[in-house]
Amino acid sequence: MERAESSSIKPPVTSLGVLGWLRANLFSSWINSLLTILTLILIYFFGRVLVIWSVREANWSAVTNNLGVLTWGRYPNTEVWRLGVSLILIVLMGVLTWVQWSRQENQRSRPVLLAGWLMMPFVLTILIRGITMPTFRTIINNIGYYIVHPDVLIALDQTWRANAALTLTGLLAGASWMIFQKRRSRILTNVGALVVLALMVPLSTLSQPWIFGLRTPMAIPMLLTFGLCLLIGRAVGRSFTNMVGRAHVLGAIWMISLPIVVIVLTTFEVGNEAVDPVEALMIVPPNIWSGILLTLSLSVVSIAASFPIGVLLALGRRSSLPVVKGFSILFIELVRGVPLISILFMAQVMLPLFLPLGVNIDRVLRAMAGMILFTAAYLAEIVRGGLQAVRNEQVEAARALGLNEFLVTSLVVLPQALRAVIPPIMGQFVSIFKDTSLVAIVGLLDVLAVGQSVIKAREYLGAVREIYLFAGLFYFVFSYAMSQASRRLEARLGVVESE
Amino acid sequence: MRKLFALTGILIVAGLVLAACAPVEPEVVTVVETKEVTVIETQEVQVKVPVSFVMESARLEAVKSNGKVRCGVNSGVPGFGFLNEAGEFTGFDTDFCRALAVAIFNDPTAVEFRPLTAAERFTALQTNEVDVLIRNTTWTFSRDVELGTDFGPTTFYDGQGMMVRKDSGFTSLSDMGGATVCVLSGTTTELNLADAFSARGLTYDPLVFDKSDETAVAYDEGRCDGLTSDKSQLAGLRTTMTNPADHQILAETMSKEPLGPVWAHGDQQWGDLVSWVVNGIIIAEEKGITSSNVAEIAAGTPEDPEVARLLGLEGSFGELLGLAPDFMVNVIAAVGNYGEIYDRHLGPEGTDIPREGSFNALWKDGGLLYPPPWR
Repeated sequence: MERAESSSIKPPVTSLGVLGWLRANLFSSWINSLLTILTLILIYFFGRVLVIWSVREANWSAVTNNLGVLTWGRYPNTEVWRLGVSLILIVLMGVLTWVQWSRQENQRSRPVLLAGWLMMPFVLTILIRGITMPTFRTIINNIGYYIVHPDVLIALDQTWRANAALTLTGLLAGASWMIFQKRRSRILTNVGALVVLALMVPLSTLSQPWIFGLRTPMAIPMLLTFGLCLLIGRAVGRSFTNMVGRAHVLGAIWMISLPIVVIVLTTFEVGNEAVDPVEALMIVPPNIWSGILLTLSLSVVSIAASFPIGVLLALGRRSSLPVVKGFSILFIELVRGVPLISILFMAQVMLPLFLPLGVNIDRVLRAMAGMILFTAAYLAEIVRGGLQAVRNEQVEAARALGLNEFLVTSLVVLPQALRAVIPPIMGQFVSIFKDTSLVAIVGLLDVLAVGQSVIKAREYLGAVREIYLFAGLFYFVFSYAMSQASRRLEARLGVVESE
Repeated sequence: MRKLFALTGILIVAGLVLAACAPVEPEVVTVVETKEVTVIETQEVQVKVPVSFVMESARLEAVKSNGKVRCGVNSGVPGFGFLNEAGEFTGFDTDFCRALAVAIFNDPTAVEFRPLTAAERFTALQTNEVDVLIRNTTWTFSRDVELGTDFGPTTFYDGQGMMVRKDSGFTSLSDMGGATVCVLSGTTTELNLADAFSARGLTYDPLVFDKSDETAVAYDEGRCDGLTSDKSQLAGLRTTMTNPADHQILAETMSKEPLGPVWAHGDQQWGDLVSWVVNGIIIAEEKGITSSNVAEIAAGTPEDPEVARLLGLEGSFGELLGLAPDFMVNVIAAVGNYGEIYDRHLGPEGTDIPREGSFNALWKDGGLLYPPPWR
C-alpha cells in the first residue's frame, strides 16, 4: 500500500478512497450512472421485501430448532461427538497443511502431512461409521478355531479370511525377499509368513468347492494364492531396488500389516458374546446417515474416488491397447449417455432385483457408487482434453531423457494436462456437490430432504421458504469456497495471474 | 528396526503359543456345536429356497434374528411420517411400525426406518429390503394382485377432497363449474378430479404444479378457487394458510383411498401378525383400553372375555402368532390404542383432521373401523 507522505502533493481525489472507487467503477459515464441507479432501485425494492419478510414474517425457528437434524439427521444423538471429533481432525489437518505449505523452508514435514491426509479416509470412516474390534480373548479363541476346529470357518463362510491373510503376507514376503539384505530381517519376515501358513494347515486339509464348483482340499487354492502373491511381491520389490530407505518403508509396512492380518483373521462372530468381536465404536450404518453429514460424505467420497478413476479412464482412452481403450470408451460413452438420476434409480431400484436374496448393499453406498462412476466418466473427458493440450514435443523430450512410459506420463504429461484443466475439473466437482441433492428422489435424506421432512411437523408447517433459503445458503457457501480454492490453486500453479 | 523385528517375532511366537493352548476346550467346543446347526439352517433358508417361498413363516424368524423390524415409511407427510427435532421418525404411520416392534421385541426402538419414495416402495418389498411397508399406500386391485403384495387392515380411510375459501360461496362440487383448481401433476389426483367434474357435467380450469407445497402457496395467493388433494393432506395444508379459519374442506370425496400396512406375498404368518396387531389396537379403543389403564386392567380380572383374550389372560393367541402371550398389553402401553395414536398425530394437537363422523371413526360411532373379533 502506498501512503501519501508529503502533504503538498496529494493524490488525485478521483482515484483513491471510497469516492474515487465509486466514481471510477459505478459513475464513469452517464450510461453507467443510469445503470447503477436503476440497479440500486431494483436492489432496494427486492431487498426491502426480503428484509421485511425475514424480520417480521419468517418463522426462523423452523431452521434454528432443527439445526441438529439438518446437520447430522438420524445419527444417534449420543454418538454425535464423533462427528465433532472428525470435524476437528479435518480442520486441524487443514490448518497444519496451510501453515506448513506456505512456509517454503520447511520441506521435511510434507511427507508426514501427506501420510496424514492419506490416513484420513480410514480414520474418518472408522470414526463416523464405527468399528468392531476383536478383544484379546476373541483373538485367542478365533485363532484356536483355525487350529482345532477349521470346519467352523467353513460353516460360517469365513474361509476368505484365510486367503486374504495369505495374500497380504505373500505380497510382503515376496517383496521382503528382494529388498531386505540383512539376514536377520529376512529370517524374521519368513517366520511371519510361515506362522500364517502354519495356521492354515488344518484348514487346508478340508475340502470346499472354490472354482466352477470344483471340490478340492483347500490347500490347492491357498497355495495358488500364496504362490502368486509371492511372485507379484517379488516383482514389485525388484522394481524398488533403487529406492533410498526402501528397507525402512517395508519394515513400516510390515509393522502396520501384522495387526491387520490378525484383525482380518479373527473378526468373525461365532455367537458367543463373551468371545465375539465387540463394537469399540458403535456401528452407525451409512444407511441412516442423513442431513449435511450425508450431503458432505456423498460429495467428498464421489470427488475423492472419481478423480483417480477419471484420470485412469482418460489415459485408458488414449492407450494403444485395444482392450483397455475399448473398455474406457465403452464405459465413458455409456455413462455419459445416461442422466445421473437414472443411474441413481438403477442403483437403488434395479440393482436389488439382480442381487441374490438376502444380499443387501447399503443404500448410501449404492448411491455413492453411482455418483463416483458418473463423475469419473465426465472427469475422464475433461482430463482427456488436458492430455490433448500437452504438446507431443514434451513426450518426445521426456523419452529422449530415457524415462520409461510410466514416468513420462506421471512426471511430464499428467502434471501439465491436469494444470490446464483445473477450472473445468473444479466445475465438475461443484456440480456433483450440488447434484447430491438428487438422492432425495431415491429416498435418501440429504440436507434438502431432511429440510423438507422437518417442516412437516405441525409447528413448522409451511416454513418452506425458510428451509429452502437455509439449504440455498449452505450450497452457496460450499460451492463458493470450492471455486475460491480452485482459483487459489490456479494462481499458485501459475495458470492465471495472481490477483 | 532390528529390535522391532525381534519384538514382532517374539510377539508372533508368543501369540502362536497362546493360541495353541488357549481355546479352552469345553467352552469353545460347546459354542461351536450349538452354533454350527443354527448357522447352516438360516443360510440355507436365505439362499437356496425360491423367492416365492422364502417368506413362508420365515419372516418372523428373520426379523427376530435381525433384532429389528425394517419398516418402509414416508419422510414427508404431515401427521403421517416426518423427522422431528430429535431426528426421529414420528407420525401416525410410524407409530404402527413401533407397535410391531413392541409386539415382537417389547421395545419401541427396535425399528429400522427406511424412508422410501413412492417409486421404490414396492421394489423395496419385493427385494426384501423392508419387512413391512406402512407408507400412505392405497389398497388397489393391481397392487394387491399384480405387484405381489398383500394389504393389511386399513388404518386410515383417506379420500380426495376439495378445499375452498369460506367466502367463495361453494358448498359442494356441483357449485364449482368453471372454477380454477390447483392440483398436483402426474398423480391419480389429477385423473380423479377430471372424472369427478365430468361426471357432474361441469368444466374446470386446472392449474398444475409439481410439488404439494407449491399448490398450497398458489391457492393461498388466490391463484385458484379450489385446492384438491387427499383429505389427510388438505388438513395439513390448511394449517399453512395465512388464515386457516377462512378455508373449508368440502364434504364430498372424489376417490377411495384406504391406507394400510403392506407386505410381500407369500408369508401368511407374518401377514397375520401385522394384521392382528393393527386389529388389536383398534379393538383396544373399542373396549376402552388405553395406554394409561392397560396395566391395571391386565393385572385384574376383566369381566369382558374379549378383553381377557386380547390381553393374553385367556387362550393362547400370542403363541399362535409366535409372540409373547401378553404382547398386546405391551403394545397398548407403549403406543396406545387407535384413538390415542390418531389424536396424537391427526387430532387437534396434530394436523387436525376431524375424526367424528368421518370414515375413521369406530363402527359404533358410524365410521368404518370394524375389527373382527379377537376370538
